[in-house]
Amino acid sequence: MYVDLAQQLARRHVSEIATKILDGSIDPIEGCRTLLRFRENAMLDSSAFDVICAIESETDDYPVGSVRDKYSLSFLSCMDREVQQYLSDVRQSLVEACNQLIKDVEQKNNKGKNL
Amino acid sequence: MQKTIGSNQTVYVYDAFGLLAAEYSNVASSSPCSPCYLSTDQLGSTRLVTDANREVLARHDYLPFGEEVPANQAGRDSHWGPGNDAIAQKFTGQERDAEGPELDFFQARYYSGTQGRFNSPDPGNAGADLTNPQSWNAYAYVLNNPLNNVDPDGLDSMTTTTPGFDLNGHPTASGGGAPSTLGFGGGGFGFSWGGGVPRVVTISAAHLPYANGPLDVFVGGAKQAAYDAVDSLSRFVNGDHPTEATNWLLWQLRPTTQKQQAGGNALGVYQFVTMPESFTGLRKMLASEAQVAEILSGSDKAIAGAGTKVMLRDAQRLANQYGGKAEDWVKIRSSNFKAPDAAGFEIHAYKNMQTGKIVELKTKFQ
Repeated sequence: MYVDLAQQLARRHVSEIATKILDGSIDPIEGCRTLLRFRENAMLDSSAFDVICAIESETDDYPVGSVRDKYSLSFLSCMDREVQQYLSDVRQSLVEACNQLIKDVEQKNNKGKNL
Repeated sequence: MQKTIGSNQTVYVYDAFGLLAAEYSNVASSSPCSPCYLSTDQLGSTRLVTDANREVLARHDYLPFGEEVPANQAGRDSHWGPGNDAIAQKFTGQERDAEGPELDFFQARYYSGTQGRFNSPDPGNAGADLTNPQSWNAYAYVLNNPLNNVDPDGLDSMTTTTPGFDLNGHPTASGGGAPSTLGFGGGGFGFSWGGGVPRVVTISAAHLPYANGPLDVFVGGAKQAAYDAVDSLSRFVNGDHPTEATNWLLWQLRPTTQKQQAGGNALGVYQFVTMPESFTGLRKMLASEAQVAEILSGSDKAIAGAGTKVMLRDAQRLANQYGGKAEDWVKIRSSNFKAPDAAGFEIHAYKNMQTGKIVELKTKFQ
């Protein structure tokens, strides 16, 4: 069966990023933002993306990476506190969503192999 | 964007392309119609305002640079001129500021139709082109060619009548065709293009719900009815035969007349436009409008807040700012649109599940 290369790559990225969020090697917000970039191409039709989408939308005003240099320390300290609290509140949902995405990718890959 | 005058507050919501999508106010509307139907010319200027009964409420004529021609001038009766409606979208669909002198809000700056000039310079010389001296004047409007050009965001002019170019100024695949003109009322934008040949198809159809967007916004039997209606009528439109269908996108614009029937369906005359896939800018604009309509009509999906797996971070702020209880507020999202150039976007907003109030729409790009 022909599997679109872009779709295959996107699924691999989804799985890798979800794993990185779980093991803490990537900032969860940055991870959510990156995951959503692969949502369309991955074509997983997973409800887990709704959770990722919601967390990303709720934290899209939070500066991540080099752009933080452009913000004042007092603002960053205030935002860091607020967002860390939010992330700890949604941590369980995020973990479940990442596990679900990894599982969905595995299932799709296995289905492809069987065909 | 919010405007406050004394205790009067008005919130303006813009879509991804800077067009006014919705307006909320605590001031009673002075509009004589609800909804009002706007008909535009090739520049997107509002020329005719009608109500749901197809009665003409107002007509607008403009001098070339946008100054409105008053009533009772040169054979015009009292329907013409400002004052017959409360519609803000005027010259090229931009909003005319009701409070101050006659200035139009062009996103990046204000424009005076009386003077034919912007009242502040081009920010960052965004529209300047070294090869075109007409563009060096930072106050000039659309290279002093207001009958052919428009400036949607106050930064740069774009032509409305050059054959062979799409909305983004890129040559169309076929190029060189005679320009065809379509006006999109309500969205406040009108334009024409050459190259491919977009066609407006007007059909009479029953049992279609009102919608402004791609036919895919319909679900179930209504979707099939929409496709059937278009299929059966498209054979009468030269070139819109089925073999070509895969290369064309069918958009329902809006019912030109509509009569509500029992069960929520409508009977009326609908207009559809067919367009080649290359009109990316147009597709994005229409998709954004359809997403706003989706959000405002309640065809949305809750992703954060009560009943979902994700906590709503701003619940308390929303309750304080807009009323209700914190637990009543949820975050909703529209469907996602993926353009041919791979850009994807959707609209998110907050909704009070008790009152249905929807606030703070934002477009999310991916």
